Amino acid sequence: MSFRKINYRLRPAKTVERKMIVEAFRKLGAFSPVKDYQYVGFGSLYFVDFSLLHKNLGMTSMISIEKEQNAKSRFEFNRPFSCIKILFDSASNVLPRLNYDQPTIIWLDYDGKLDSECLSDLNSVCTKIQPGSVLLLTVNVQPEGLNLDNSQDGASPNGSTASGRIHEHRLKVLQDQVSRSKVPARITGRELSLSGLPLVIREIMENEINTALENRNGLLPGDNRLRFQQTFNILYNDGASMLTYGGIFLDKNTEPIFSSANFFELPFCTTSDQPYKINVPNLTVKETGLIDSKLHDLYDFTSSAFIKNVQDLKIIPDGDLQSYAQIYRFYPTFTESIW
Amino acid sequence: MSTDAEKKDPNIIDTEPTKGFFITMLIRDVSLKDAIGDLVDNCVDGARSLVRDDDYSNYHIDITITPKTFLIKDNCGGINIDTARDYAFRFGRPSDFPGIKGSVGQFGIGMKRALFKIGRHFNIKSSESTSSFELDVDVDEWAKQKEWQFKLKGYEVSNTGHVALGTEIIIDKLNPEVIRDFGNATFINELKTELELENLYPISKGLVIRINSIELKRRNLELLTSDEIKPAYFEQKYNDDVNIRILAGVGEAILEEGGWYVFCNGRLVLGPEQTAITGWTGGRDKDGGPKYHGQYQRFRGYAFFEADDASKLPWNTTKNGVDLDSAIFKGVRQQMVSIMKPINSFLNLMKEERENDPSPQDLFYSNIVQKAVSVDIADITKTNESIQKTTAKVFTHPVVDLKSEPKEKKVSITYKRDKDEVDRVKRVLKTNSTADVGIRTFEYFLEMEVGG
Repeated sequence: MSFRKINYRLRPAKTVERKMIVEAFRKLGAFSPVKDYQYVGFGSLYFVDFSLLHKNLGMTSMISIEKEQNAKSRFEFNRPFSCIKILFDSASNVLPRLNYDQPTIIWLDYDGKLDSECLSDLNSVCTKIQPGSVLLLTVNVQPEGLNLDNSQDGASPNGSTASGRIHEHRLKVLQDQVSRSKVPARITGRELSLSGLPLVIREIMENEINTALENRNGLLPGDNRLRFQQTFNILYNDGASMLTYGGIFLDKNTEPIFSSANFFELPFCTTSDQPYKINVPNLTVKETGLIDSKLHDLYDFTSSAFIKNVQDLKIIPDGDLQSYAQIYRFYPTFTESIW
Repeated sequence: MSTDAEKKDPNIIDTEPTKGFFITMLIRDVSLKDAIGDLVDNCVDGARSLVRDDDYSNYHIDITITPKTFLIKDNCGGINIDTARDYAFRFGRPSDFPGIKGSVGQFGIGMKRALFKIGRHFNIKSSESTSSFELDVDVDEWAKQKEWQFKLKGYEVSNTGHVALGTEIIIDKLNPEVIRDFGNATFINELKTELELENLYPISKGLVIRINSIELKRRNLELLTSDEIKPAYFEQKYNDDVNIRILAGVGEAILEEGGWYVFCNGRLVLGPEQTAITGWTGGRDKDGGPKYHGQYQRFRGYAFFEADDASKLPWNTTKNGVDLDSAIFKGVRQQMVSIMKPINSFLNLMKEERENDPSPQDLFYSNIVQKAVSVDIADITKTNESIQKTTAKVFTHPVVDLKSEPKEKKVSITYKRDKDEVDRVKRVLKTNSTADVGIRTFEYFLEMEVGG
């Protein structure tokens, strides 16, 4: 299980993403008090997102879905607050059972690739979730490499090129994961690259949500019909490329509330199919201190550009400066501490 | 070229149907059993317009089937002479048809199609409180005429009222395949079962239907309930004119009876349904649950669509299926799929339990099901209190709390290799133990190739 492999606290880009999303969640107050939202996530052993949301936003109605049933007492032990309820079952079993009457934030933070089970989970949520509620999905969007065993000494059976083979392989893997019928018809495999795969995966998730809502809307009177408004499309990389796609469910009554909440003043909230990319440069504490002290004189936050001579900061590469300026409020500092 | 043809407007293309074609096409898409079902639906609709407080016990329908004739006779009110003239025998419903509230008939096709399907000659006698009529049609003769008309053999209009209010239809000159079926005992049995299911609701309310004097049995729709097990209940009004109710849970373990049952205005149109139509899609690329098979035989789901205007309901014209493309059925199907997921995962738990631990006292889930009581769903939905008491939004069941956690899982690996090879590895590993060779080569692979 991934909780044994990865220490979730030491992933800088993920840390930045979490803080950004918490900031965006503050805007949900326009719908109803944020502390009254129910949070559903995968807490694992560390419950990082749970602690963050509880401490920052005061949420107390929290459910962690944990499919690992062999270490129950260990999960219970690590639960940071008793207001967190752990349900030991798979997401596909828990999601259809949940009570969606109160406004809810569901973050399905899968570590793996998008697959049919994830899509089925999306469907379960869309069947019941209420307007003003939020759904986020995180999946691995690292493109497939070629399995070495299949490419013996570069010899190709029908004269196909190496790149042709990898396109074919990527398409086949994607079709296996989400099924053929869910892969958009125009996709040939060429698009499933480092830059292309996140777009395709986002499209598949969006299609699935829209289809589920279309079915549900068939039964609802016009004013109650739901639409999914994308707010998050974030790409980050702590060793593998990960995509967080998410948004808010709106009906006629909640549309104006959403507009007034002004989510899109936040630079990391986007309606675009092009993801917002989090880059976390490696900087020392001394360096970040230096940039922080000058940033508001040298950087224009509306155009996201340095406007003045950055002579003072020339020891830091330009690219790192740019990346840092975009995320400086969320930049994590990791230190070892002895407890 | 005839002079007639020359007079025709050259822009006009003739699309008038021929009667022969019309009859052949009409009867092709309906099975004989469904055709008879349609005739029964008409009788039930008659009764429906007369009953008070849902009590059908004064009404009966008698069907007599022989290899020579088909007879259906009811006391369900009869057909009004004006209805007969203006609507009942029209092919398709005129837009001004007033209709019967909550009826099963709606397309204006069922009765005619059934008559043609069964035989080439029919006689209809009907008496209603203010009128009566007789219609006698030889289908082959009618097919030769150009006019799209039936001629009444006789009629009577009086205000005194008739005593025997009802309709009698006799069909003979049976079609060849009908003669074969009507002489076959299995066909009659299957027809009986089908009509029992289709008319389950009015039969449960007292309606008597007999085939060759044998009365159809009342079939109960039941679900297991207890303090521990609560079936799922869903209710929604659609567009103010269709009421939708879904009730689902577990029932007896009978393979042929598991699945979904879909009703439109009390008439069963699907069920027991065990295919993708009701979410038993199987396959990862599908939007539903698993394919139906033995481990789900306890699944029971009931979906009811009710509307005063029958044309709002999502059924097909033969009433043996639903209109899969209708927005209303798509929406309801999504809810059905969502409702069935927790029920199927419960049935999966029961199966796991059976396979893991055969000692009877440890069969936690089976014991819960054993203790539950089978209740007629009509009793469950009778009042809001009983719905509140016995059902939940989501199928509810207790979960076994495993206090002791399973031990770490270890497996053994055994294999044979040539002694020479093993000795060579021993020398590299500087060990004399063969077991050590196995363990350390595995550990090496795990570290170098797998990681962790």
